[in-house]
Amino acid sequence: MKEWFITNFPNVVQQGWGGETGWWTSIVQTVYMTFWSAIFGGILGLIFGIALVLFDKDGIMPHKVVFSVIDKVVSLFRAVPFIILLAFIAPVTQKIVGTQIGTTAALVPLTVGVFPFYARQVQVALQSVNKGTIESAQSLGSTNWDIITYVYLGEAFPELIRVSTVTLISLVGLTAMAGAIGAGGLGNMAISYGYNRFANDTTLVATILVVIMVLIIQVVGDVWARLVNHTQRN
Amino acid sequence: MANDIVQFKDVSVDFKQDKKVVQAVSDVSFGIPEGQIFGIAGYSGAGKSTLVRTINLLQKPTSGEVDVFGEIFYKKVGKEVTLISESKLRKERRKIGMIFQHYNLLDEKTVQQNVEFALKHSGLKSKQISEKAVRLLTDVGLEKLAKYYPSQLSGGQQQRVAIARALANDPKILISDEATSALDPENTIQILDLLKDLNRKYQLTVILITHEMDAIKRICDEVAIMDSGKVVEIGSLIDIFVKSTNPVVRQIVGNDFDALSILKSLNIDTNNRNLVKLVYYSQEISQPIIVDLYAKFNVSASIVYADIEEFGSQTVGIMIVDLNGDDAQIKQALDYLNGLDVEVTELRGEA
Repeated sequence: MKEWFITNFPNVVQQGWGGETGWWTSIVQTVYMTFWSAIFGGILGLIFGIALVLFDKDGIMPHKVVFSVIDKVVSLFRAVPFIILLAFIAPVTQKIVGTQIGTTAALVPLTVGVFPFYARQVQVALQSVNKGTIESAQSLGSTNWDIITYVYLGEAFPELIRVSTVTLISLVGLTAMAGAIGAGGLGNMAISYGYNRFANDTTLVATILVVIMVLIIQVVGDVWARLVNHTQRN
Repeated sequence: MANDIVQFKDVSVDFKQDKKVVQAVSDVSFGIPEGQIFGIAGYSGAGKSTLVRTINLLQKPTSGEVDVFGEIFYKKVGKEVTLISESKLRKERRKIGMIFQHYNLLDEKTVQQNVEFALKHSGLKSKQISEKAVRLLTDVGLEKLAKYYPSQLSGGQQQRVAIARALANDPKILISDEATSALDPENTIQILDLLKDLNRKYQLTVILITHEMDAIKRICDEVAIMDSGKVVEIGSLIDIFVKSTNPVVRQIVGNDFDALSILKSLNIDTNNRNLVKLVYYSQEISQPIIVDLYAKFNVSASIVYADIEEFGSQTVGIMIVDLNGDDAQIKQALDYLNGLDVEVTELRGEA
């Protein structure tokens, strides 16, 4: 088995496990980028998504101007292709992280790249909450904070897990592109050490590892969403 | 009036739809007396829900004045608007419970958590909140289902949870917005009787919005009939269901007491017949009036139509009879009936 692998996947073996260009390092880099940009982008996206619902003309705090500004910001950032965003945002990254290249530097464009996507997903999830439920909460004398936390976030929780899963998966895809600014990771492994060097075995293994990550995220998300769901909506 | 818990004064509500203005409620003025079960009936789209939603300002009026508990919640004179403050409104809303057609419970929270949610700002400690929630659920007969989720409950049970939640802060008013419209007849009756019970037990003013006349007849003290955003008529159940001659009201409440429509639907010719409509209220029912007419005046009465309806605790009977006998004796007979507090209407030549 071991011999068979060495014979058929020579480049994979040559890449090694640890070390700067090793597999373990790549996996860690991808997880690191996905995790932290999910945290930052998640918080930012959640805030923007909630704001989009609250300030909407049918929301609980309708405000034309504020809504319009947030809406435009989200649309604008979503319109920029990620690979261009990487370059475009470099000066900002320099200010925040102190460098434009590397895994940590990639967190800035990843966060900025993922939050508008997540904001839209959150917006749709929260809008699925029954208007009548919001109204009945208002009739009980609930504050807007109660309505955000209990009604919007509470009632949409299973839906939020589902959209977070989708977002996380697309985030894994974005981290592959971050290799372009020297962030490393499995995507970089597939392109730089696989594709560019005609090492198809490396590309294959890197791809399989990414697919496994995505599958794990998908399964965990699905199971979790099902566990917390108490409606018969689905 | 002083004892009105809710006062509408010239209340109008406009909706803008594609630049067109639709007036959902127009110039409505009336009061809802404290402690009553007050019905608001009409077809869907008549503006009933829109009107009652101005009570707790889920819907702001376009103009007019809404007073609740003797305080101005909303008032617009010219361009000047007086509006209760947000924080005050939240406090007052806790004194105005509301239940809805589709229950509107928090689906991701248990039955008990739903009730506890309403008590979040009650100032009670979390242990007391739990105790009160359980007590409220016991009141509506659901203590055993406290840990269940709404989707595991039947419609009637969900509406009971909604009632327990609406009553959490000991409100003085309970607004029921088509709350029984999605329920089967049996559950409808149970919920209506529960509302009546709460009205009796806590002097709770109940405002019942519905298009179901049977619901109104079963529990209401007074009823307002709405059509196209306007209040057509207000009165006791007897005033509206039995006595009203307003064609719009008749159309909405049904023609059970409208002799001419009854005759028409039965295809009965009124010419050359001595048709008389008799309406009588509970206590007279035991009197054998038809037999009396023959025994005392030699007037025979053949029954063309007869019906008995219940309005809350009051029973009302209607009979249309064809009288035969000597003219003078018929006149005496009618005088006799009038003396018995039977409402007599001669139908001759009316149709």
